[in-house]
Amino acid sequence: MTESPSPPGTGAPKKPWLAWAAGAAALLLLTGWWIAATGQGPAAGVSGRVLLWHAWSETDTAVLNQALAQYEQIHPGAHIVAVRLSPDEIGSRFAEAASLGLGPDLIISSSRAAAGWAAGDLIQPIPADILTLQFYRPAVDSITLDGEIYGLPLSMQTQVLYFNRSLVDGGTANLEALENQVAGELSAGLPIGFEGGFWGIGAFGGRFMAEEGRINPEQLAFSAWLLWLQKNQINPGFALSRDQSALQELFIEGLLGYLVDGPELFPRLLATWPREQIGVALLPGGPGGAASPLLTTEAIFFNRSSSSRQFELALDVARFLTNVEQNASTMRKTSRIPANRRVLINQRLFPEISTFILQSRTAVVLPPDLMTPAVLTAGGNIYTSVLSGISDPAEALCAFRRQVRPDEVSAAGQNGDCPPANQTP
Amino acid sequence: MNEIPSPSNLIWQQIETLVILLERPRLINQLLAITAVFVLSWVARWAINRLRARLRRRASGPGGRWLPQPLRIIIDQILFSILFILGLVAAVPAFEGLGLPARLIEGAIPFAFVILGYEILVGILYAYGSRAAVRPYHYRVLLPLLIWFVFSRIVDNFIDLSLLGQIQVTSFGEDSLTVGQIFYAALILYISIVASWIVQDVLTRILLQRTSDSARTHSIATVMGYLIISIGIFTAARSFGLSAASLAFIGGGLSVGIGFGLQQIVANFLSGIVLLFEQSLRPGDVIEVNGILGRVERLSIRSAVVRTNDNIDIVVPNQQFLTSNVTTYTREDSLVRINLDLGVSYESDPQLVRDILLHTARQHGKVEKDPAPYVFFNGFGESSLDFRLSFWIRQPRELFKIRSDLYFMIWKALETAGIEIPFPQRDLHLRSGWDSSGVDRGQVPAE
Repeated sequence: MTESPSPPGTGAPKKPWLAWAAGAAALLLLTGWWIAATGQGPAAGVSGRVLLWHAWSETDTAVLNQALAQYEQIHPGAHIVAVRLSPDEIGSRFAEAASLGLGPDLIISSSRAAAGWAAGDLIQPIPADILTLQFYRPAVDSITLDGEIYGLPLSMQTQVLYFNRSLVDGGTANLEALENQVAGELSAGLPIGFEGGFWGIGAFGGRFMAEEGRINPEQLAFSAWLLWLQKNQINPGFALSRDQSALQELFIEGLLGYLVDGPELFPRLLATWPREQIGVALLPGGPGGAASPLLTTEAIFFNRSSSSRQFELALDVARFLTNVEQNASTMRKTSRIPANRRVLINQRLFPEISTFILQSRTAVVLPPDLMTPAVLTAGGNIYTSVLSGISDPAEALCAFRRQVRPDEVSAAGQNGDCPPANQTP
Repeated sequence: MNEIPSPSNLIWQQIETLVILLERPRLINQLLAITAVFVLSWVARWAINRLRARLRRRASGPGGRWLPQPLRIIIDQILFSILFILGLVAAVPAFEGLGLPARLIEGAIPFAFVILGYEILVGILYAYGSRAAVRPYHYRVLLPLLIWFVFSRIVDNFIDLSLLGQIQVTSFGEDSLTVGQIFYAALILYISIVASWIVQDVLTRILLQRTSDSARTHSIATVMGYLIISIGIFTAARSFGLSAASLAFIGGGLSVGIGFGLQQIVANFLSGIVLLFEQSLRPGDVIEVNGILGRVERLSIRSAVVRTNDNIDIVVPNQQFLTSNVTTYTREDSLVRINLDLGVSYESDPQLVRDILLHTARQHGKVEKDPAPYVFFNGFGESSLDFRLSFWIRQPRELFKIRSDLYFMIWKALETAGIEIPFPQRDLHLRSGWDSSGVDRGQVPAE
């Protein structure tokens, strides 16, 4: 008989709920252990369950579900639980869940997130023996970090020049022609910002990146492009905005003849306009050559926490979704730009997709570590500070480099091409 | 807008998700570690308490208890959480040293601190408050809040609660009712009930410090409580997003139900409101209803609890108080007059009897001095001089006891004074005479 620590009638009562909680947790874990123990053996064919997260639209989800159902039909032992999340929250929710060992086995997401996830050890690279030759090289590059490929590319995203066929006959070859065309009542919507305005650097003959993943210290073309924008921001024929959705609204309402935008606009236009009204052309080139829009990829990434069996199955599902047949089917049904270069695109049937593919040849893939939200915001500030007259292009670019690649700037500062921050006026 | 699968598909999907997650060794290892730390902390707490008890027994006497009691209670309360936190903190580097991920274990540490905070609060409450007073706050407020917090945060990691909340249960006209809406409505109701209870408790304590009218205090607190619950019900109904048409639809259905089956409940409910506002009956009142004498202990919206002198609680529906005659001894004033009738022999001195009765009444502590007791000479009875002792008391519930006490005291006083309390006497006159020969043998003479 033990003495109670507190006299009767005082102190806290015993805690039966703790016993229940511990019992329930133990039961749950034993179940998990049993599943894990029985599921780790050699798989007879492709079997098991995996969880897939995506943020596709409702209509696109039906296409994805069809593909997954087809996979399950081929592999009756396999089951894919597909969960659709909001595009705004899918990235943060995955990061939060995966850091705890939770979250999906596969996630379809933009390559923009790859660097952060890989750095946080949330996703795992694909095995070296998986061939990626069937994909467009830039698509693979966009998800490659330190020589490891973190996922399989599903579709590509870049920019083209949309035009309203009821207002203009066709695209425009270069910036000069565009300036002449918008001199009348016609307007062109140009997004400004790091991603939206990146294409102009190539048009002025520059390269943003130097060798070995360094930012090119010579940014004369970028400066020229910024000065061109500065000059034309008072041109009533141009609508310059960081708000891409606002420009889209103006274009859909027929107030803009041209708009620089990505593939996500195409389904919206299809839902609003007759097909024959939609025109898609290559971005206008400039005095330095062809435009160089940024290229990002929608890829399938793999959770680091998945069991080996789950990873095997997830990889198999991803290979199925990115094969030629599925990639072509997805292109036809959702207007996605296939990342698989073996997909044959009939230019007459899919002129818009063909244009995107053509544009992707001059598109630029930035290292994943330069596609983080912080870097993109800093890049956007270049445009804001130059167009508002706060800084000249060289100062703004130096400020950007100091922020995102301080080690490169300190080396370059000794060479005198980018003065240290305290010397900047 | 997400397409919501059917409820069964959604539930099945969540189960499959859980099964998928539990297949991951990285996750299972960490969950097992957390559970092991949890169980070990519990066992360690039990062992430490045993050891402390043994040490206390050895060092018996006041000096053996080297910690003040409040501190001991708090330590008892938080010991588990402290051990749990220490265990988790130790498990993280152990896992990392083995090259295993430990983020889930790290993620469990803030939860353990939440439990610690909860236990510190509970410990302080128990240390400085009475167990009876703290227990309701512990189990009605703090524990449900902790369970809700921990459960929702844990479960939300494994299954999509927001998606489950979108399952449509039924529809009223054009409005639909989802699991999430029901949950939030229930949450609002719970919060309003708890808030009502806390407000009643606190208000009662505050008012009782300023006034001695416990009945009025109770009524004010009850009305405030019902007001808060009413606001909660209204807010919960609004959270359903019900339109006027839907409310009319529900109201129509309810009115049929009320008409057929719930009329007694509604009658009692309305009677309760009338009683509260009219103040015709208040807790603490001593009443007699349907032959039951007792004190009103509680007055709720449907019924009143009347405690008899036998300490039996009788639940009386409120309607009874409005539809039948209720004798209240304490309506305006708790002063009650009691009459004791008695007779003494014709040989007694009436003045002496009066003095004895008055003196005896004054000797009883619960007989009021003002108004003073009074003795009435009621008349010449068949076999006694009849008196009535009238006196006042302020404890109507003790009426029977005080009356009994006084009878005892009067009998003793009269006996001491040599005053006889006669029994009824009859003189019989027999026309046929009396044969006394059988009387001695105890026999009744034959006719």
